[in-house]
This record gives sequence, C-alpha cells and structure tokens, in this order.
Amino acid sequence: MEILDLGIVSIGLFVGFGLVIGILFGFFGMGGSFLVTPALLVIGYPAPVAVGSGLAFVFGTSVIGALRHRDHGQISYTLAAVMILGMSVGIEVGTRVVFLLADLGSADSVISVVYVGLLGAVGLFVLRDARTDGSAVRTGHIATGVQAIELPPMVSLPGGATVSVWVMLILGSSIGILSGCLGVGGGFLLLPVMIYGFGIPTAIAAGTSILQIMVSGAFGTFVYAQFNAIDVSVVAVLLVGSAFGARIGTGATRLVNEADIRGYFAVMLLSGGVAIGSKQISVVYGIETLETASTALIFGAAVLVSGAIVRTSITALRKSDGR
Amino acid sequence: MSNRNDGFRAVRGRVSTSRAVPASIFVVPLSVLLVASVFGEFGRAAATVGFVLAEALVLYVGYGVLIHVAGPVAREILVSA
Repeated sequence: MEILDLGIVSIGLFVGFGLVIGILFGFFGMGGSFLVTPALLVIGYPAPVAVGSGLAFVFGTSVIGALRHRDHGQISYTLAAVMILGMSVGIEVGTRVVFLLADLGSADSVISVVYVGLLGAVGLFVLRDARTDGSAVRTGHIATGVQAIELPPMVSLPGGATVSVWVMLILGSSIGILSGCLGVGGGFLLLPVMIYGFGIPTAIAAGTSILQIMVSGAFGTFVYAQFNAIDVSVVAVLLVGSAFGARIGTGATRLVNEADIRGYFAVMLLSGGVAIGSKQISVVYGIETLETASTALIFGAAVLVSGAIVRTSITALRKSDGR
Repeated sequence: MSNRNDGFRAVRGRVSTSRAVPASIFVVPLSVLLVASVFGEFGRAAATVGFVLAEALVLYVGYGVLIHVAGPVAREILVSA
C-alpha cells in the first residue's frame, strides 16, 4: 500500500524519525535540521534532494516555532530584515554550489565531509559547554570585537549595541551559504552570532533567529523546488511526527534540566558525524556492513537521546505528583 | 465598563484569529495551486512552499487542540502507569 509515493512502512519510519527530531528540537531548541539531511544522505538520497528536503523541513518546523513565539514580541525586525537579505543571497550562492558539485559528480562526498566537520565541531562545542556550564565562552571579548568595526551605516540593536550593516550582511550571507549547501536552518550559528557577537538578549535573539530561519527556509525551499530537488512526501511525513514531538520536547523542558542531558546531545551529534564518515567509507570501499552500521548509528543515537528525555520527564512527573 | 470593553476586545481578537487561521489554511494552498498552473517551474516551487506552509499551519492548530483535549488524560495515564 502506498500513500504519497511512500510505502506504509516508510511512512511509519519517517513519522517516528520526525517524532524523535521534534522531541530533540523542542527540548534543546536546535538540532532539528542538521539530523534530517545527514539521515537522508545516509539512507541513500542524492545530495541535492537531501539538502532541499532538509531546507523544506526547516521551513515547516520554523513556521510552527514562529507561531509559538509570535505572542512574546521578542523580535528585532531591523536585524531580521538585514540578516534575511544577507542569508537569501547566501542561500542562492549555496544552492548553485551544490548543483555545480552535483554536475561534477562530487556533491555527495563534499557535503558529507563538510557535515562530518560541522557535526564534529558543534558536538565538541556543546560537549565543552556542558562540562564548563557555558563559562568557557568569552562573550564580552567577541562582542567588543564585532562592535569595534565602525563601517557606516550603523544600526542600533536591542541590548544597546551598535553594529555595522555590512558586518550583519557578511555574517548573514556566510550563514546563508552554509544553509544553502547543507540544508540547515542555521539556528546553531545565528544564536551565538547574535548573543555573543551583537550582544543581544537571549530571548530576542531566539525570536529573531526563528523569524530569519522561517523566511530563509521559505526562500531555500523555493529555490530547490525550482530544480525539482525536494521530496515533498518525505517532508510532509517528517513534519507530522516532528510537530507532535516538538510539543513533547517543549513540555519536557519544564520537567527536566537541560544541562543534565546536554552531554548526551553532544555525543549524538558526534555520532552523526561518525555515521556520515562511515557511510562515505562504505561507499568508497564497498563495505556493506559499515553502511548498515552507519544507518543504525545515526538513527539509534537520536532515538536513545530522545528516549532519555521522555523517560526522565516521566520520572520527574511521577516525583512531582508524589507517586 | 472599561473592563467589559476590554473583555469584548479580547474575545473579538480571539474570534478574528480563529477565523483567520482556518481561512489562511484553505486560501494559501488554493491560491498557490492556481498560481502554480500558470507559471510552470516557478509555480511548482511556489506550490511546494505553499504546501509546506499549509501543512505546518494545520499541524500547529490540530496538535494544539489535541494537546488541549487529551493532555490531562495522557498525563494521568503516564503518572499512574
């Protein structure tokens, strides 16, 4: 039986994976997007389709996230407008890079290598953050450096900082290139840039970044869809699971201390990097066992971490009810 | 009097939002599909964006209602299981 060009088993698996991603995204506030593209790469989707579908998924989840944040009014529209302009240019460039690499026949390997580096770097950063409780980041030093560039026109931002429009455009387009190349929303880069670089309060940075991701995600979806490089059925099914999972993950933040599980999240990101690396090695040397192991690793790690969140939440819920 | 007016305003706001969301859910994909048939490649891209947007809106509203209705029951089951 097939619905939306997918078998019933595939639909079940994608809804389940979406649920897992949603729990992680809802709980940690990031990580939704940069598991989808690697997972699609690992199960054999061509790089442009994996990246395009990843971006469409990011767009869908950020619409839901933006709707949830809309009442709080914690958005800097000036910053969002300038960064979106830069990100849109960057996504267009990133998309062209992916299709150029696809024409050269090296898109899968290049994107996989970049993902291994990215997941490794972000995983190590989160691991260090978990161990030092965030005190290792020298926020003041970075913010002073960025604000010292006085290239007009300058824009005043919430939090009292004044930043050059050119700095915002360059940072926005750099994140956009990464977004267009890898199919990620870029929240894991946007948030540190705005908090540590521009000195913006965390709540406003979170609201502004989700708006930027929504608009740039829509643009990225539009650009990739023109090349027919989005598997709409996979995106639709993933969204069904992730929208529900995000509500579970958000609810879990009220019961479980994020710092207790952040270490597992870092290990999961590192496992994702190892899985993509193993997949590439298996393709080059034709080792089928390694390919199966990489699939099990990327899905297994995500299931284990989201399972730990749900289990800890239920335990906390029972404790709070005194049973 | 002022409180009553505030109450009316709040209710009116809620009613207009509850009308706007389902309306946008139907209007956006339909208009996008109409545009899609005219503009080919661009239309297909616009239809994809519209489809994802509409699905996200439906899921947001649908799961919101589901959690509101089934949330307390699910909590009770989880605690007592």
